[in-house]
Amino acid sequence: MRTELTRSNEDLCHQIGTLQHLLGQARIPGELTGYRSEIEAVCEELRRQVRRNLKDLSYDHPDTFENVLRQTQRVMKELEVINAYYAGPLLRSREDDRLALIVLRWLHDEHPPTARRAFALSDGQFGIYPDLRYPSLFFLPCSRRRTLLYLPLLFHEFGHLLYAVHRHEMDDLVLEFQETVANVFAPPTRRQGAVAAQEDAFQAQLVLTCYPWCQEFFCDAIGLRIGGPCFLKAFASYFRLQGTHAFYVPREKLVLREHPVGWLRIRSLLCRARRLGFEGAAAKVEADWNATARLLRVTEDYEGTWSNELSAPLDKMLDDMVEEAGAKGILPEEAVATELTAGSSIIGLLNASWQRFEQDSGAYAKEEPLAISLIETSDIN
Amino acid sequence: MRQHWLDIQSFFSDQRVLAAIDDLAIATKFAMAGIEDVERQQLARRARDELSRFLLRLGEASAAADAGKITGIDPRFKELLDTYRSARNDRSNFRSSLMRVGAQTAATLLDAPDKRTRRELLESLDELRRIVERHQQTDVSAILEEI
Repeated sequence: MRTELTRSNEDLCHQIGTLQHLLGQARIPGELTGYRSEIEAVCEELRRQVRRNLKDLSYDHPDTFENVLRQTQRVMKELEVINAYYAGPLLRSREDDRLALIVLRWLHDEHPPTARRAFALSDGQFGIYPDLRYPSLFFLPCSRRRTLLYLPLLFHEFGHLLYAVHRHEMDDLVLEFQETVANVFAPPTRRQGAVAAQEDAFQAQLVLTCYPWCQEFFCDAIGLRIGGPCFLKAFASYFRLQGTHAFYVPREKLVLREHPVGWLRIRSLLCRARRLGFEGAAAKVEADWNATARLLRVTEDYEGTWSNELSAPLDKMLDDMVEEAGAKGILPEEAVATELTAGSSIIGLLNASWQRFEQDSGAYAKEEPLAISLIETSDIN
Repeated sequence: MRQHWLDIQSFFSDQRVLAAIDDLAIATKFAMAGIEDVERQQLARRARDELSRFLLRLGEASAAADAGKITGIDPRFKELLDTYRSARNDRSNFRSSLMRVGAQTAATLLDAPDKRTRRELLESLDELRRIVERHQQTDVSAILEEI
């Protein structure tokens, strides 16, 4: 076994070295320099572990072979994750990625806890890998990274990173909210029997499921705070076209999902948008959402997984979380921007893009490349 | 939107615990065999810190669950907690000190100064690894495709 393990570790060492060489050779935009350094450091850490495995094997102490095998498997697994997800953004980097990378760099720089954090962009549905020991990996559909309208959805993903940075404080706030949920759904009297036991188990699961739901609500609130109307419009527009499941999910499935149903998220966003003074955008989004629901013949129904009593505590929790995160708020003039002109901020341009799109989608398609070049070429902020 | 943020956080978190388990196990076995290796001893110290934090969290969450309160934790950690709690009830397959006395108390085992406690430690680490590895399977299959 010692011989086989030695060979396996030597091969892993060669694999890691090869990857490091490829990463070093990759031609990347400046925005990815920090990311490359951090992934190279992760590779170096794996290489150190492989050397350590080889040293452990050199003692020829058979009792430890099982442990060395597991350490070798661990390196292998982590290398696979790097190969599968983290290396691609460097090795397949494209000039076209710059638009989204610039927006992400701006986003990170605007928030002190993330200003020094590295990140990259990968293909896929909107998403993020927000582990703090690794640089963040954002996922963005290919066509969305060369157009402006849906870039605000990155603000939601960035919210997951803010949550990770402030995890302790955030978890405490979520815990308080979970207790409220447990109280609201607690039966007024002690019940017995199989049906009651089933309902108790359902409610216990609901309280647990609130944990990831709260994080999603928080990320939505962050997106709205940073992007204002452009986030609300992008979010609603994206979800409206996802299918009936954005509006309604049966309770047995909903209670096991890591995302609350889209309708509830929209409701929370509309409430916050109105409080922030985005009444016009909120009214339009609400009308479009309801019209879509009517066409789909779906009515608002959370089937006992939500109660109106929870709306105020949810809002309070989100206010506290957003304050804790210190997210940059949109400026009033950015929220009402209508012109795609030089000198605008990124947020101003994204809001103006939605305004222009809603006024004349055909004309907007012709104007968008100019707006993109404004972001890519100027010292915009 | 993708639902992988919990998978990846949980995957890396388990990786760290698994690394610490094997680092400490190897160092303990070396110590029992009289093999001196300074770097191994340093790694063992780091592993003890890591495992100590992990066991404390597991122990606190387990006590809260016993009292009927499971809040403030993510669903993946809850799954790990469930696996740990059911392992503690499965005395025919899990007999180590860790399982007998529970995570919080077992943290003192990590220093294992003599031969007897080192054997107990190794047994506990082995069972803890089984629990964490079983839990990690879910995340691995969510993140990495099989070939």
